[in-house]
Amino acid sequence: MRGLKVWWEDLLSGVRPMLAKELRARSRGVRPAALLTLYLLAVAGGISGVLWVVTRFFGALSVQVGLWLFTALVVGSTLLLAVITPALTTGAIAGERERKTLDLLLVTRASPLGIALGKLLSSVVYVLYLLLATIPAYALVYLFGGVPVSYVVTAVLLAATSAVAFAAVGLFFSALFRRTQVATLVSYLVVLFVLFGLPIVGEVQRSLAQERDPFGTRPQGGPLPWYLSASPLVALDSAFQGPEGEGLPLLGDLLRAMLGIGPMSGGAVTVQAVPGGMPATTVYTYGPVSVISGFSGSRGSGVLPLRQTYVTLTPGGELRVVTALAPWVQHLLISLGTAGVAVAGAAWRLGGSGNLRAWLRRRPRVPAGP
Amino acid sequence: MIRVEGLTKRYGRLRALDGMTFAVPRGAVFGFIGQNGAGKTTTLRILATLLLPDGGAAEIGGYDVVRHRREVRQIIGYMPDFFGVYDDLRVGEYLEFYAGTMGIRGAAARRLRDDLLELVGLADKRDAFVDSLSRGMQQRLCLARALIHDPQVLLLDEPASGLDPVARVEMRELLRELGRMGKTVVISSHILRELADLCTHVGIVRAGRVVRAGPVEAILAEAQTATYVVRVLRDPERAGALLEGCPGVTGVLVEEDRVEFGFTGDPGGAAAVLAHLVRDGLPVVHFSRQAGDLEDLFLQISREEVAP
Ligand SMILES: Nc1ncnc2c1ncn2[C@@H]1O[C@H](COP(=O)(O)OP(=O)(O)O)[C@@H](O)[C@H]1O
Ligand SMILES: [Mg+2]
Repeated sequence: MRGLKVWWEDLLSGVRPMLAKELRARSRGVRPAALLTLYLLAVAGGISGVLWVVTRFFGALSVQVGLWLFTALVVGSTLLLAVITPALTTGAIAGERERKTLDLLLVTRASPLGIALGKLLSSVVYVLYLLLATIPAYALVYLFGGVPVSYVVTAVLLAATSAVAFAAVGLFFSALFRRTQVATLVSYLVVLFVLFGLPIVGEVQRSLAQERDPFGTRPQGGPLPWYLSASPLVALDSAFQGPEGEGLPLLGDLLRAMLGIGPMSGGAVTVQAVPGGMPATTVYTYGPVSVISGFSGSRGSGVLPLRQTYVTLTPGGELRVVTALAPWVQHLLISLGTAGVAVAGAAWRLGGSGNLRAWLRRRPRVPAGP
Repeated sequence: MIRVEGLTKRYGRLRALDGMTFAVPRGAVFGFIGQNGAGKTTTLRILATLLLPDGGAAEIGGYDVVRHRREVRQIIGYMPDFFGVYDDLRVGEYLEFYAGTMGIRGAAARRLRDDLLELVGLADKRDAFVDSLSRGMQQRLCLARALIHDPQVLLLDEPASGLDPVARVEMRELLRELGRMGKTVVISSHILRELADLCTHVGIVRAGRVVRAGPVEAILAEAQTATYVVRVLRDPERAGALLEGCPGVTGVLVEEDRVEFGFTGDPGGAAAVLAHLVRDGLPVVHFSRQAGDLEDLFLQISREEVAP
């Protein structure tokens, strides 16, 4: 019990001063203002571009435009944050090492976990600040309508959690590598892979599985492999599927092309009733087989489902219903899990390993005090 | 207060510490002296809980530096040989930050900040940015940081290195003040002269082990063995033979017209030796003591072969 209290105090001795210092340092000078300006300019540019393209080439207004705008905002801010966030943390610990301030920090009461958490929180605060700055832009979406509030909340939540995960990954590499440059390089490679590489891996895996199973002896279809949800783009798309199983405009088409998910022309089967009292749902395909999106009605239905229902096709030709966590929920869990593991890894590398070893070697008897 | 016993540390094939053993009594100002690469920084980093030794043991205030890191960190203030400062902070904020990392907050932290800035003579720089300070000022600020939790023991790694003469004097005054405050201080240096009149104890380290250690007076007494050089116009052999017979003279070495010998005793004794040579009719043209004291001993020890 006393050990827990000491642990907590040492954690706070790291988190509190580190958060205060980093935020103070970060708010100084022109850099933060310049970054915010750039970020908002990029968002504004994106919105104008989308509006221009939509009105020019599609001529459609109202609901469609609202959705287009929403997609552009969500995808745009997720990508922008993915680009910005690692840069906020890859210097966090490697920079202390390079500036020779790390030892001064390690001889204090602050625990390695406290130091790592303080660093992470300070960049998370900054990311949230950027994200909040875009919220007024979502008001524009309402001008056109067609997107429920729950979409905006979920979208911001997804963008925030993936940013937290990316920040934590940057922090981990910052602790792992001695040089900020190396940490930055590796972090961006990882971010790029998660964003764009994972969907490709998913596609490769799918076609390999198909090749190994040419006669269709295993059940086909069902949920996407869970790890694909680590990519915020996949999660975003699957979170906002419409009544016909269609994803977000553009992004949905892109991912569908890569993953082979979604309604194939003429291939979609509409199931009127699914055993278990599920409301009428849409079947759409994962490869040649079906996925049922678990919510019914229009996009305006409000709360997004936590679980999603899928139909798999057994070799005998039966349809079997499978439910799984919705990909966007998986994304939240994966992101937070990754962040936790990455922070723990950073703390370990910072000296937590020595602390643990010391604790294990500790003789049970109370030491003779000074 | 500090006990170090048989510490060993290897970096690959290099033995940085090779059975480092010494003790520092409470309230002592301990000069930890050795040439570059002798193992001073490695020892201090182990004492500061930043490095794990391969073997041996060290404790500070009764706490083992490996098993009781947390307790040790509470009672030590550490100043590394090379350190950086957060250049985007002001001097006052810098100290408040480190106060926070020691769990000191609010009014207590602010009071401490002002007291410490007063102590190290930076009170008027409180709102200056840290990177606008001179090297000497940064060094003193770092010392103030090491004092923030009122540690009983200070581990200072070459605190005066890289300073100009004026800053050096200021730093010395500050260290003297710390000694008066009753803190146990370990100061490492590769220049003995810098520490000789500051320390109560010294330990001379060579190739990863302490080769001499003790109170300054004891070491100084040992340093009474000074090297003398005599030049004679003729008969150096006879001078050598005469010297062999004098009390306190050891290790006579004759090289052409030059005779070198070790002598233990006060300057009066040395004068008696000279008088003895002259009385015997030797034409002495030169009689001198090699620049002596601790420095001499230090150099002599540093050159000695390491005992197997
Ligand atoms: N991180 C390290 N890796 C490899 N060798 C090291 C490292 N740190 C110190 N050494 C070596 O260990 C020896 C002792 O170094 P050090 O303790 O810094 O000596 P001092 O502080 O007395 O100059 C030196 O030969 C040095 O080159
Ligand atoms: Mg050194």
